[in-house]
Amino acid sequence: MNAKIITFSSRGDTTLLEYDPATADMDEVNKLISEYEAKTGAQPFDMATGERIEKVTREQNEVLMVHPVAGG
Amino acid sequence: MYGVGLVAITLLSCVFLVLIWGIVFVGSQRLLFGEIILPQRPQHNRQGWGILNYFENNCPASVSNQAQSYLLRIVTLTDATDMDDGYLLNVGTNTFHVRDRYVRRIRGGEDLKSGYVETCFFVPNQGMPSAELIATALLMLQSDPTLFDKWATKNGESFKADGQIFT
Repeated sequence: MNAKIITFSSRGDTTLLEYDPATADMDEVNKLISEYEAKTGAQPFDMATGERIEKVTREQNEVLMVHPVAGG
Repeated sequence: MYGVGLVAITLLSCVFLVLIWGIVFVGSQRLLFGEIILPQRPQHNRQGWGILNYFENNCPASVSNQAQSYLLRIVTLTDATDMDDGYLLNVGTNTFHVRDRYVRRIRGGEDLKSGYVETCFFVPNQGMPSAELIATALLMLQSDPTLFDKWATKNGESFKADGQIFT
């Protein structure tokens, strides 16, 4: 089963990246996540536990990039 | 008059023959091969159906259903409680009531100077469905409940899930 990096958007959930966790280069996956975070401020959460994660590992099958929230 | 009648009869005969051919041809296919079952092609191979897929995946009802489905998953993950007008979230000594664009602190924060009870929240430049907006707030508050005070005191500033300002 492929792993997915998703995010919420105006079109509902959007898949940013899909990969085979068994064979994927996880350094490359994390590099893409870092680039996305630098651009949007979104940070990864494991959809199996609901917890924020620093790095994505092969054990995570679904990761949600959570965008920054503003208040007022 | 006779000519018009002849043409009409010829046309009707043609239509009748096409109907008969269709019934006989499809019937013989079913007799020879059994029930015709079209293979279900995977979604990503349906090149010709791209526009149809776009509307299937992006129509308001579909987007709303997906958003609601994610919200339900996140409500379960954060152990939040579904109320009539929002969701109750317990994080440490805090209890938050989260609804569309508003979050109220029901318990906790008494020792803080800010003393804010309620604040609004939004995800800039996203326009995401309200179900996903609520899901985002639930995840962020569970991860860092001090975000409530940051949202309340720093009007319009965006905060990442780790509590850092995003500029």
